[in-house]
Amino acid sequence: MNIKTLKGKILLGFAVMILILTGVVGWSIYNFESLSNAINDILVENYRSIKASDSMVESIERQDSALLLLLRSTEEQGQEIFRRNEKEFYSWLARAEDNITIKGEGAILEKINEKYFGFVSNFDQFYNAEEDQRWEIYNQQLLPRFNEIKNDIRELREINRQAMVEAQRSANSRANQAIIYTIGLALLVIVFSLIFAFYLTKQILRPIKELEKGIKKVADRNFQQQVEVASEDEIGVLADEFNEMIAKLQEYEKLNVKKLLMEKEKSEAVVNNLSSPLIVTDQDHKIVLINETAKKLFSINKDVIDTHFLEVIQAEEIFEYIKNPEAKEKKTFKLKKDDKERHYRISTRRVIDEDEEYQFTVTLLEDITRLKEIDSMKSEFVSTVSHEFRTPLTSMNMGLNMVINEDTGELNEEQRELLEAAYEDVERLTELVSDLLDLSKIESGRIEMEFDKVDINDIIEKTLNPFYKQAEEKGIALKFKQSEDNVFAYADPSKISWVISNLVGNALRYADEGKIEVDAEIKGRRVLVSVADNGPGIPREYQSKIFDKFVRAGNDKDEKSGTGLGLAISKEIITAHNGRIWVDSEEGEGSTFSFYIPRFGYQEGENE
Amino acid sequence: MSKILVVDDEKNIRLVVGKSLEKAGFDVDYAVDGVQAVEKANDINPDLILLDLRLPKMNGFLVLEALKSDTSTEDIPVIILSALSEEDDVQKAISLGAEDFLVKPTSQCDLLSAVEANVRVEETNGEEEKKEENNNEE
Repeated sequence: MNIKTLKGKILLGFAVMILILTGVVGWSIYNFESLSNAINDILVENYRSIKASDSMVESIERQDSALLLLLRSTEEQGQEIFRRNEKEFYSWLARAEDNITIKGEGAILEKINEKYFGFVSNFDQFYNAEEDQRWEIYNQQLLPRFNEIKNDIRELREINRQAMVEAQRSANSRANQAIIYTIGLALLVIVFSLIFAFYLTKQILRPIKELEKGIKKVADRNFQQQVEVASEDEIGVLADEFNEMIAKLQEYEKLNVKKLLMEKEKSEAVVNNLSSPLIVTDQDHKIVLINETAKKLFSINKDVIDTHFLEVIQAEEIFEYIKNPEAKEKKTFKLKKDDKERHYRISTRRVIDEDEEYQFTVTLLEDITRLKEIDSMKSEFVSTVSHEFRTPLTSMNMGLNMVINEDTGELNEEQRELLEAAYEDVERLTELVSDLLDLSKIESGRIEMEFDKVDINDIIEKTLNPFYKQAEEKGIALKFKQSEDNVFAYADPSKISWVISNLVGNALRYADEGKIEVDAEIKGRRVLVSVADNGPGIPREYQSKIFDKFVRAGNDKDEKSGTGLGLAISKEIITAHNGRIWVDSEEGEGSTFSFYIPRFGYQEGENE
Repeated sequence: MSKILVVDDEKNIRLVVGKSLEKAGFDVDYAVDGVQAVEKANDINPDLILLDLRLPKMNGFLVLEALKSDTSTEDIPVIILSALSEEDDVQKAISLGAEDFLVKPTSQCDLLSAVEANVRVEETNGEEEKKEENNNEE
């Protein structure tokens, strides 16, 4: 049995108990055995001697009676009784002699034997003597001997009785002793067992407690902790396994930490090498992360982590966005970097972690300087090209005009027709160049919007005036419904007039007859303007594209073509008003062009 | 007959504008760049100058500035005829003393009405008077 194991320890404990218990039981058995022996002694040894003594007394008394019978001349009977009892006596004497157990018993028996022999010899003498002499012999010899023998036997009986008493006393005392010893031993065993149990429990529990402490520390993520359990039992094994597990955990954690570090380094590298400045702030607008580009942009040299955004970067405009990340649309800012003005588009985003415990705001300043440059290059290009077009157009226009006016001589009909076609196209080209220039100006933001409180009804009225005659000529009923009074908008009147004029012009151009209805209404925070016609309508596939540059509905007839830029310019103008323009059209049923712009007084936060 | 100086580096413009003006009864002279424009303005003392802005050697604004800063030419009315149409350009030209600003491509009609509105008719008379005075002196 391996006493180093927990099982061994417990079994050893039990074994010791069992051993002690066995000892106690053995000792008790021994005591019971000696008691039983003592009783046996009394019964077997002394009792037999006493029984023999009593029988001997009985026999000799019967012989005495026989003697008395003989004295009364009953010869035969007396003789016979005497001899029978003589035999009996000897037999008991022999038994007593076989059962000598006490000191002095032998001597007494020898004395009895001797005296009894004398008594029997005297009887022979008595039997052979005459009747007269018999009395004398009896009285002088037999009776005294009889009494002596009787006394001796009594003495024998007495010593045996005394031995019995002695044996009983000894048994009693042994029994008492056994009880005392048994109780003592039992107490001893109990005490010992208790001590042993305590010790064993402690022995078993100590490593468990150590293990428990270790586990607690590990549970607190202290993976450096090794559980030290000295014992080699199951707990020790458990501790070893536990330590191994910790080692593995430690390794795993190291690996994880390494991975995490790597990931962190990776993302940091990415963030730092991001060409756009990036700032992450927490709920209290304290900086959590700022990349190198952002530091460079704002000339930050020190560590600014955990500092309030405004303390580090004095840019209220950007801070507004950080405060309301999702509230506003992307806006561009001009910021100075390396003494050069650069354009940034801010985009802010709120990031909420899985537990919804932390909220971060990621602010990315996208450097759009290059885009702006390209954009302005494009605008410039368009502008330059347009300008370059203008000069040749001038000579074409004026030259053709002079020829058609016959300043240079008469023209025949064919010449006139051809020249007029050329002149018409020159005019269209002129219009296109002018529109292109307008568009590039609006796109590049070079046209300043002059917003004011304007009554859209007034604008529509003024804008429609030049169209009535044209409509009448084409047989189209142009009507301003004016369903509401005082439709005040926050707008640039000349630009809105341009848009309405473009929409009405388009409707007139494409419709051959029917009606055109213009209206303006207040819709909540907006003013809705609509131009509805019952013309040919716009095929569905063109509806989403007609606000792009140079897109015209497919059923264009040559004479109806515009520049293809009118709606694109309209869209730019409406967008610059924070509004929206769209078309609802059913082919063959007509089209309704609508746009909304902010109602006056609601221009703030007009974003969708 | 009123004399008009057409300043443009584009041959075709000079041709067409010149012809238009001649047909309308004006005497036309030409300059092909800014420097020549200033020289001609001094030499022939026109009754109106049609000035392009984008010119070789000396741009239209500088020509305008030079003309307006010289006492002998400051009274000559100047009409800008340019492909430039920016508000800034127009403002600048007007503030420098241009009488009108025509954006290319302009129609014959617009051109003639602008010229006729600004050409120095009285000045011409004045000049004739001067000539007469000179003659008298002689």
